[in-house]
Amino acid sequence: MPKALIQIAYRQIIDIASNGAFEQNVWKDSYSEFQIQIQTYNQDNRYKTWEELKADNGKAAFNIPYKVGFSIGLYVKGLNGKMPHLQDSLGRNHIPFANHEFEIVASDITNEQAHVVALTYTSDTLTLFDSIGDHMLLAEGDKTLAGETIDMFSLKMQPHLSIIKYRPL
Amino acid sequence: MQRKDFLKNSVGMISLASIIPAFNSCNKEDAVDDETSGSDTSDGCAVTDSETDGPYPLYNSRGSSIQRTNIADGKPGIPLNINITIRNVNDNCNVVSNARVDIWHCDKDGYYSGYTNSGYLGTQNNSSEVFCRGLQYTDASGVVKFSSIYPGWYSGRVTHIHAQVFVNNVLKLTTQIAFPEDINTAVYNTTLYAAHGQNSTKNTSDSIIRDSLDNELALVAANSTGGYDLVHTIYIAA
Repeated sequence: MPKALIQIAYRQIIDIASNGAFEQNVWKDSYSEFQIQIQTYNQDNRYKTWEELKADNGKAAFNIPYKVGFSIGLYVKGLNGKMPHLQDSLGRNHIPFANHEFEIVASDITNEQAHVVALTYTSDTLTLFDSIGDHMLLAEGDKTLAGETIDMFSLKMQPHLSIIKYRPL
Repeated sequence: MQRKDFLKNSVGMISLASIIPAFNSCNKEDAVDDETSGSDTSDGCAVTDSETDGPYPLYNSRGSSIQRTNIADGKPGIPLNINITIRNVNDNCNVVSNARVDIWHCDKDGYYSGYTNSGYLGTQNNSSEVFCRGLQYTDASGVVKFSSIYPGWYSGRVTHIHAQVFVNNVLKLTTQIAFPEDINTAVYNTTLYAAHGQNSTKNTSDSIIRDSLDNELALVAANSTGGYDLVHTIYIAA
């Protein structure tokens, strides 16, 4: 018997050292766009880092991340709804996400090496059947009424992975 | 094109009334606003060399979900063709090619894409949407074109489009584009827009646009396909 309906979130940190075409594209283009978008709030060049501006200007803290996020929208679309890097116990890259959130963790208009962003991918509903050690036994969607054989996968709890919604059955 | 040529060539195409605002706009500072709050000012007076290397639109656009000409994303509304020309007051009001122009506006019900916002239909989480947002680089004639829908309105603001202009990746101007009042009224009387009714805020009472109508009011005319054509010139100091 399934135990709960859950949603999981996986947060991917991307910095200058991140490998992979997707990661490098996201890092590079989000830094270019950050330098474009910060100008609206930095016309007197008071701010060098994202952290300084964010602490000082709530409007910038709100507007800049979602506008920079547009610059990498097609890369995220290219993931075809599968969370990058997160693999099930068989090493398959198929964990689906329904939404994503882009975040600027740190940046510096004079030092690209300081640019760090994060993408948090949120799944749709998953059915949690059991947990075995540090592995969750899951199925996509709500399988509480399923009467036939269910496609399942197991996923190891790991850093940057969390259950964000839990509905006990 | 020199300014005198522009004026001479324009007389045949557009009315004198529309030229006068363009004339004045060479000296006008535009209001800066964003969709989320308040206003600011900017003089955008930094002088840049228009002959230097342009931005790299292909490089910059590879991942962009908003670099496109059709920005409606299937949102219902009366079609609006947007034609914006960028001119440089520091260069005899000649056109500026390869300038990046970002525009964004609300949907027919007054909601923006990109974040969660509230309106007369309640709160909508549009954070994963990019409707009614676009960016293009001006062509050799200094023109960018977008196809969208006629914007609706939200409480406290008159109908408007936001625009930002960058030259060589440097922000030159953040401004807004206003619509003729009679056309707003006609559009908001149509079936698609009628549920929200007429906007009590007018161009002359809008806190951002009322002092900028001489240079922010676009030419908008009905076209033969049931939509509207918007033509506007933005003057920057580059």
